[in-house]
Amino acid sequence: MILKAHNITKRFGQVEALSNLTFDMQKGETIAILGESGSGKTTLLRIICGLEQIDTGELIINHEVLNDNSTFLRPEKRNIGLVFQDNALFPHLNVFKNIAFGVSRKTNRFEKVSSLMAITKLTGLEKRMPHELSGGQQQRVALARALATEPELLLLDEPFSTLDHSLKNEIRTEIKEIIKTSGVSCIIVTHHIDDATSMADRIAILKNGELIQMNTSKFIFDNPVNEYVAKLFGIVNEVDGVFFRAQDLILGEGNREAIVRASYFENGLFQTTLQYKNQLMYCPHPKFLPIETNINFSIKKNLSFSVK
Amino acid sequence: MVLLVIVGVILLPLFAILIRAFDSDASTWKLISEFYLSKYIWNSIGLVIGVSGMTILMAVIPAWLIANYKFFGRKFFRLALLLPIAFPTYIMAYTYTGIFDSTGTIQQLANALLGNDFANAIYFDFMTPFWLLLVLSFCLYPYIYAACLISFSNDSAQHLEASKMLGANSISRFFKIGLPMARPALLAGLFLVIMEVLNEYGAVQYFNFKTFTSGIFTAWENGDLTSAVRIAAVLFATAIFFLFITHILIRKSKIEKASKIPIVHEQLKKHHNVLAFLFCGLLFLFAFLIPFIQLLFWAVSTYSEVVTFDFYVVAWNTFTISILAAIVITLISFILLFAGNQIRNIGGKQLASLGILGYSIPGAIIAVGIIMPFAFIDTSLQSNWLLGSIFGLSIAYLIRFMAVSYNALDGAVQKQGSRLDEAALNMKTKPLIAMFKIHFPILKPALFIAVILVFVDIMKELPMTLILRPMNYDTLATEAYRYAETNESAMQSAPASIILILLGTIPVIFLHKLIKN
Repeated sequence: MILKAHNITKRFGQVEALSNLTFDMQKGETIAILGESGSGKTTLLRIICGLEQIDTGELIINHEVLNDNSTFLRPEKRNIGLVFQDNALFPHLNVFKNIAFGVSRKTNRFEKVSSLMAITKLTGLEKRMPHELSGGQQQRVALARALATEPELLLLDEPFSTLDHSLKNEIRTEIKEIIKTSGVSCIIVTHHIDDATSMADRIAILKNGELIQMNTSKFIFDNPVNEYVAKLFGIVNEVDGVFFRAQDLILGEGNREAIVRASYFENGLFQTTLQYKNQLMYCPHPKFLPIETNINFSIKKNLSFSVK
Repeated sequence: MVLLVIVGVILLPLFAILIRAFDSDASTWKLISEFYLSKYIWNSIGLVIGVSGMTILMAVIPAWLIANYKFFGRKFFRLALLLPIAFPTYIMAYTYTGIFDSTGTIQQLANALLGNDFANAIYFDFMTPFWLLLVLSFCLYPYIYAACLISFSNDSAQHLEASKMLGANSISRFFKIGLPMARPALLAGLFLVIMEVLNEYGAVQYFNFKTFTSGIFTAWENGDLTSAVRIAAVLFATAIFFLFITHILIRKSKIEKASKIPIVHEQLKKHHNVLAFLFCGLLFLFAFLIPFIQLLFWAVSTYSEVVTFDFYVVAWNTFTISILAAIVITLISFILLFAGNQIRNIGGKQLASLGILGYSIPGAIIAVGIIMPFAFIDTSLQSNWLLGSIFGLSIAYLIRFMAVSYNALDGAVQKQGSRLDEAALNMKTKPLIAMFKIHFPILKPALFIAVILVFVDIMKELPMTLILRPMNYDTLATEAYRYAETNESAMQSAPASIILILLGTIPVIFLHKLIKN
């Protein structure tokens, strides 16, 4: 086990940012902390790297207590790498010096940095300044800089939020590959479900400072604990007290009849709004459906929640 | 046209210096160039280097501590360490001399408390270049302190946090991240310090330390204007040299800063807390509190003797010329700014910025440079409107302090953007009407601040006023200087000095507000 968080609580004044949070992670594992703004995910990340202290609870990394009621190990003493949301590259240092920043002078810095630059496909950009790099290149420099200290744990804070949609998939794949190659354990903090599902072995879902579900993405998709978790993975409709995913709404068959209220083209499909009784349902459909026409529907699979 | 006239007036002394410097009629130039010029050069450069080093030390450390850490008295020191900028250097010089000289406060106290032998044992000669350097540094370090404090406070917290995560301790964070990122601000502050040192007259004269400005005054007092102009030309070349060097260094060190995330101030623990408090506290004590209390003490003891009808006349003179000149200068810079903006497509903005060059020209250069065209105009018109007149002195103030009001207004105008002008144009309003009907009312607060800033600068101004003032016309600055220079004790200058310092704190409050925001 690389990390163990036990009953972690953190308050800012009257606000409880994290409440009795408990989880652990295995060596080499990648975990995504998923939650909306204010859910406490960034606070958790800052606690793990030592930029905030916990009020109660215990944080253990590699069998060493980093933070509890009596112990606090300063961030510079923890062997944790952090990639910031906007990369936080040092603007006055070139690419090479940025990556070499945390590497001890006693080691062979040049070799180490060069090899990391090769892994992160940055070779040839040594002398470039951060503002001369593209968004993707900056991201890779930030990752190489964090890996250069050979951390036991790597933290990525909203790593893809500043990238264009077109770049995102490519960079995500590259970074996943680099992380897996280096074998480092990794925590990704994000509010994008696609970042979490594509990068992580397990996903931890935070809401209002509480951990509400933690498991593999497939398990959570199939067995969400509640409506909130289910909705993180896409549209959830409700008809007569029954919840179901948009893709489980089958149009053109069944004995119930709905009215088409809207239909517009987005992401390769027609996003369709239907009204059944006084409830609206949403689903993607391959064909345009004329507005105000009636259509039959059936539900392929219901969703059941373990917590209401 | 308006733009050309204003810029022409501002550049007038420089042209006059260039023309007059080649005049053959220079009675003492041979003597000066053989025996004194190298001394002026080396003393001035030595003083610039010494004060630069000392001010950097005094300014950067507290700015870093205040921007990044919580410690006892932090908020108080943020403002308090700006206060010494309100002290004119010549007042600081004679106050400290009054404290340390053979009949000064320290000797009197030592004598009274521990006897004559002890007083003799601790006596040292204060009138040495080292103490001059220290005195100047006390007054000038706030230029760098303010620039660095703004820069450190504007750093993104993420850079510091990133360096922490990469194992950098607090010292290496300062040297590897904080300091390199603040280099442009530090250099900009340093440039102002260098210009102030080159412009310095009162304190160097008081310490009998021969620099360019004292050379200019000596030649001018001996009636050799051409030699004064030639020394001014060398001083100008030196000022341009430093301007060039700092400009290159600033350009080289300019960096693109990332989006700002506010710094979370880290609480300093026990002995670090005490050390930070002591550093800031001692600096405040020596750079402001001790000389200010000494002046207050002197002011109270000499009040009845000094504050007579004549003193009120001088105070009234100072107030009227300062406020009138400040209003006129601010209005002219307002016009210059808008004239430049109107023709910005054909280099109007660049032309207008030539008009603010005067701030980087030492006052003594402007003063001797302006005498010649003034004398020429007065002779041609058979009048005495310019030379030795309030009007002439005000033109010199305009040349020197235009930058102060221009920059204050430019900041406010830039915030407005060009949309208002475009809207006015769309409604077929002429630019001149738009300037007075739209911008003038909106810019009233900025105009007020500009007037205050120029007002305070004029009140404290010494070298130009000494050279260009009308006969028997004194300001509080010349009065304070005259007392300090002619009397053995500086005590009588204290009431005037206190007024100057208290007024000098007004821009400090604006500056502090800017830093806080």
